[in-house]
Amino acid sequence: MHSNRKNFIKITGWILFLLCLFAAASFTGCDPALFISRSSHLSDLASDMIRSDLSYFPKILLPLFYTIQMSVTGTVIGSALALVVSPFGAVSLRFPSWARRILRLMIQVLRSFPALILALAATFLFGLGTFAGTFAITLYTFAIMTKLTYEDAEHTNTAPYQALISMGCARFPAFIHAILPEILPAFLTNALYLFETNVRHSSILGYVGAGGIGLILNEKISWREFHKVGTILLLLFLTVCVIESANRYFTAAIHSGRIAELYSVHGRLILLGFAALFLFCLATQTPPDFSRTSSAALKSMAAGLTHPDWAFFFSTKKDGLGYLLLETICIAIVGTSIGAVLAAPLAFLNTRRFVPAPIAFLFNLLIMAIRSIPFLIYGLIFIRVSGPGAFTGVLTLAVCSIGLLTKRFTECLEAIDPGPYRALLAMGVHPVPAVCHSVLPQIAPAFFSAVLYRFDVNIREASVLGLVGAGGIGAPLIFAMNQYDWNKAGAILLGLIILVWGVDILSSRK
Amino acid sequence: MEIALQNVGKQFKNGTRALDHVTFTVPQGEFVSVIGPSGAGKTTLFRILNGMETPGDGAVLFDGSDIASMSGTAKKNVKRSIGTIYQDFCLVENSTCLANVLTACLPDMGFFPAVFGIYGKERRAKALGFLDRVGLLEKAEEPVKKLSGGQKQRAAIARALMRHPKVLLADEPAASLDPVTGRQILTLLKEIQEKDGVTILMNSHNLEFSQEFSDRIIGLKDGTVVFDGKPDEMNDEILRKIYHE
Repeated sequence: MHSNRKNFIKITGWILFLLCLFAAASFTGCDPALFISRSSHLSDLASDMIRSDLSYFPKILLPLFYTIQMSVTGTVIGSALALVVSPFGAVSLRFPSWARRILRLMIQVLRSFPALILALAATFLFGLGTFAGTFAITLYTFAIMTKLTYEDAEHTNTAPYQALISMGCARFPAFIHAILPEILPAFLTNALYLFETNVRHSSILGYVGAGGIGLILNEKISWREFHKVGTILLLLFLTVCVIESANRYFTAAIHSGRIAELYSVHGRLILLGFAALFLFCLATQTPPDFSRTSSAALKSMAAGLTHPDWAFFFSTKKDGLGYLLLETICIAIVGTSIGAVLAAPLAFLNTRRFVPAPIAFLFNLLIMAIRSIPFLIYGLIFIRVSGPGAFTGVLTLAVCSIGLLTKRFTECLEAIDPGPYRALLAMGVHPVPAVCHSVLPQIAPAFFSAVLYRFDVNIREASVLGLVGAGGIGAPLIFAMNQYDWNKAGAILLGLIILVWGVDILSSRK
Repeated sequence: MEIALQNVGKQFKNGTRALDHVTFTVPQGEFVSVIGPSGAGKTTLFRILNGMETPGDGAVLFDGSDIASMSGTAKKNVKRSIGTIYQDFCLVENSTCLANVLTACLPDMGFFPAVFGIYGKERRAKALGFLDRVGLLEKAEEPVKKLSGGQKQRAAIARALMRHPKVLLADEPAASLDPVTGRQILTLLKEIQEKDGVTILMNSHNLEFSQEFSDRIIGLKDGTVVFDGKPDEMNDEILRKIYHE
């Protein structure tokens, strides 16, 4: 009886979810027929990009350096700041509760905005150029790293910390010596992972004038010079490959406990290398350009942001905030679902556990290629296929989700116990049913939480899709910011904060 | 330093009365075991002594003065003269032995040296000296997670000794160790008591060890002292009183 009821709830849940999905799909104007009929545009584009113009190569190197420079500086400074403030966010470390509340509120607000919106806001403060980009990446990294670090600190054993406190040690030094060594491996892994993400993020910041490779990428796409676009993307792909393999090496070193070797000569050389890279990136930063920022402009910005346009906020019309947010949610739901459905089989093809090594390697490359292209570029490409509108947003998010979810899923697959699967194979069961009965039950919770996490990210990314005309809340937000309509921008930002907060609460319930 | 408890009582918010009119005095240099069944109030007593809890009523006197009415500096001095070792060691697993021992210096350091761990040569030499004394010198640069349970407890003892304590609170120091290693740890504690004149106040579930190593045994039951005397005064009847209805 009990299990019947459970089954009933499960089935009802799935049916409700599918209904939501179809409603969202029709709301966003998803039309597979349109996509198929116009897909020749896509293949033309792709063939143009594959025949890339290699003579253009040298001209990309400097913008690429700026992109990496923004990521390195932003990741290091953002992570360092996060390390300093994160103990204030952890409940178990018993820092004053008012500090915890302020910090958590600040992080929640910061996390609601995609890096691109932060960069756009930064260009109003610091002028156009890489400084605005670096600032945005720093803030973005700070927000994410702080949250991850205080969560890690909360889950670690606090007994040594309490022991130090009872000896009369101050809280912050106690955190550094008793908690930090335990969470350092996770902290470094997160920082490395975020660095990789930041390289991809910062490669589109040029779109809002915040410097880097995005500037020329945007230019070449609008001039339809797809051979050159192909060259830029190829270089970006190579860069991401290099960073990812370096990441893999360092992550493995961190997790095998070789972190203690940082004190050895070899380890010190690596640390010195990192320090030199960081200092070089920091020293070659272009200084901010304050020539166009005036105190009057800042005042009107602050006044506008603190006095949101309530008429727009509560409007239920088609150009009101509610409708736009709903569109954004629908884009994220459909995009994430399509991505998840496609990513699941790809994940199996992506690991040597289930397919022969050469096939896994090919799929590794494919997934990395998908991931190395910044998502806004997908938007710009798909818009030529499906025209401006929410459907383009759905397609864009779907492809981005495939890239990241496949990676996540693959990690889950590689972490599970292969014993049951092998046992079934040994009994002569065909691999597909064997996977269904031995692997899926083990990974379902991890898959589900990865999808939820991706949905959370997609909601935020969906809010910048409007930038290329792919629907959602992004277009009105960026119009409002560019027209200095800060009241409207304030209303939209507030809406975004509430939306992301709501999604956070929902996903932590499950 | 003489420790005196006068009618100490502690009631938790949920209504459990952990300690009730506990009174005893421990002179400097004595090895005292506190025994009793789980839930008798041993841990609460220890938490009150090392300052992690405050007594609900009664007073805890150190050399005749009440800890509750002491000024900040005096309180800090008392705290400094009490070292604690724990059943689960409370060491930072990813840090080396030496780094763990050095954390004992943090309370006496300024904020920035403490944050960056700038201990100086003198403290390092001292820490190595204590590691040598507990027999862990060659493990000084090993991360704690690679040590055995007994070695971990030795590192924890070295950390406690770094503060030159007058009193060492040992909260079931042998409970997570095998009998042989446990005996070695207690021998080390006994040696510290005899050589340095440190008061050892030990919480223990192991009656055999308590009788063998301590000068005095205090039996707690339901938060009250039911026995206070020499190990050889202990007999089956008293034991029944402590551990059974």
